[in-house]
Amino acid sequence: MSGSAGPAAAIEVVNASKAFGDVIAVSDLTFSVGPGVTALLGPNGAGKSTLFRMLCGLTPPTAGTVRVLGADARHDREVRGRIGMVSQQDALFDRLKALEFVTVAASTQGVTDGPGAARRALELVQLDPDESRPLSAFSKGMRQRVKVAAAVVHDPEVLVLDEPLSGLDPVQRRRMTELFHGLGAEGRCVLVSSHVLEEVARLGSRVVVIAQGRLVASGDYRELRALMDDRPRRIRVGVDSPRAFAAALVESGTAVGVSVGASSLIVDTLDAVALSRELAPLALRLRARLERVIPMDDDLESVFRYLVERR
Amino acid sequence: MNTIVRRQPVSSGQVFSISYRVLIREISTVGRLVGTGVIGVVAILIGWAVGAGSDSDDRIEVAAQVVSNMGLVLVVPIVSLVFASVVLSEMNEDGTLVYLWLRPMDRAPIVLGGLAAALSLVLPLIVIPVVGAALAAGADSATALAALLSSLLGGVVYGAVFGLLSLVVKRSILWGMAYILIWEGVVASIGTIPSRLSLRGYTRSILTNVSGMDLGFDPVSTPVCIVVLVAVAVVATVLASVRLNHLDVA
Repeated sequence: MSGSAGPAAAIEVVNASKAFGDVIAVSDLTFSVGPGVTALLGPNGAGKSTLFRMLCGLTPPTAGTVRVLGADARHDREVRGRIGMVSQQDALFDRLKALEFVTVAASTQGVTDGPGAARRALELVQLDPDESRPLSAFSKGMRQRVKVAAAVVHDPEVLVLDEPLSGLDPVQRRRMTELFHGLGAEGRCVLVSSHVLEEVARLGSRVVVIAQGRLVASGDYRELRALMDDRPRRIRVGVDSPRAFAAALVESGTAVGVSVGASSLIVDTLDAVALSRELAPLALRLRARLERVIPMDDDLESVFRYLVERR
Repeated sequence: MNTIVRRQPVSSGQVFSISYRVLIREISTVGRLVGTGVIGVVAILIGWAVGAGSDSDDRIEVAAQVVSNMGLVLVVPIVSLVFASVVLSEMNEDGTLVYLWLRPMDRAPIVLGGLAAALSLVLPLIVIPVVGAALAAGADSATALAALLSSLLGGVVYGAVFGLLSLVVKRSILWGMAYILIWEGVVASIGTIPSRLSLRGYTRSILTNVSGMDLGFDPVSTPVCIVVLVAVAVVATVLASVRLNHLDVA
């Protein structure tokens, strides 16, 4: 993956923007993705699904270009057969059984042995092809797996998977992640979106991060993680003697900033681990009652805010 | 994924067949079938009641009036609207259209499959009640045949037009009802030109011409009616195919 399109790029997005009326969902995105698993990370509403819809041709970009395998999926029929998509929408043809649904997916992709391919795809996601219940009776996790089976049934070169792990239990998440890695190792381009940092950590080392429709970061996940570890952290400490606590933390150098309230203080620190180790002994030394320690910016939104602000 | 997946181009016939099979199952909900079935039963009962309350000399004309004022005015357009306006638009709203749209195949047969699915449900649900109401009211064979032809053609053309409407506007049921009640119900009765711009004018003309009854308006000739209705259905279907190609898919 790189900032500019390379010869091996399966997905190329160049200055792509998408607006819905006055709302700009995606703004001037440029990146490319090659074979292997790449995670698209972004909070809810970041524009991930809109980007995926543009990649698959479901909606055209307002400006810029979006290419999959060198073609525009909206207008190029041949390339549509080389893409497998899991959309974020939960809806399926609910009256069909899983085997019927995936067979329809195979048939519409021109697979000659539709039922056979559908059976293999369902077994790949560990669903019983002979399940007699209709899809309407399936759990959220089972429906997600059916969607993945329908996306891989025609052996596509590019997989665009929008939050495919949502609704899965931990065991299924792990198995599905292994499946994606396997598909990536075979040379397919697998682009997986998520708004959960820990999921992305398991998905792979390459990430594209977007927030508010803009590219925030792209590259190796470990580099991104290091960026997040280096950022100042803000922690609320509930204590019955906040002034004394604040003075001691500033004196020790653990806190780079402190604001004191009536029964708590808010600490800015560059080393959250050291701070957490220091709090209990400090409370003992000051004979203070430590009531609670609450990280204030551990959520994904704050990570994105930090990344956006430091650009 | 180590097994080799063999593939071949998807023919238009296969697209039509798959779309038809999937869509007819999706739109044939119990609620819609019961609701439109009740409309049909009520239509037959009204036909019987009106026929029973009229003189035996007038019953054929009364039967034609029942077909004209109830069958072609309400049953045919409303039942067509209920099924045709959801066949593709509902899929786009709930996100399932992508399973037919993002495929290496022509999209026109998807529209044809959807129209065929809608008509497979609509035609029995309008032809049986309309002809049944005519017979229950005392129709002769000519009037029954006129009811059959006018409702059949009406179902096809309304189905195509409402199918197109559903791909062009949101809340197509409301727009369709507005067309039926305001345009056809009020505007079309104002004069000849608005009447020529309403589908109902042509279906009622066929009824008038084939039954031989005077229904109180100047009918268009049957060949012209058939040409206009078929042309409208074809143009609406072509436009729906074009629209589907350019749709923003959820």
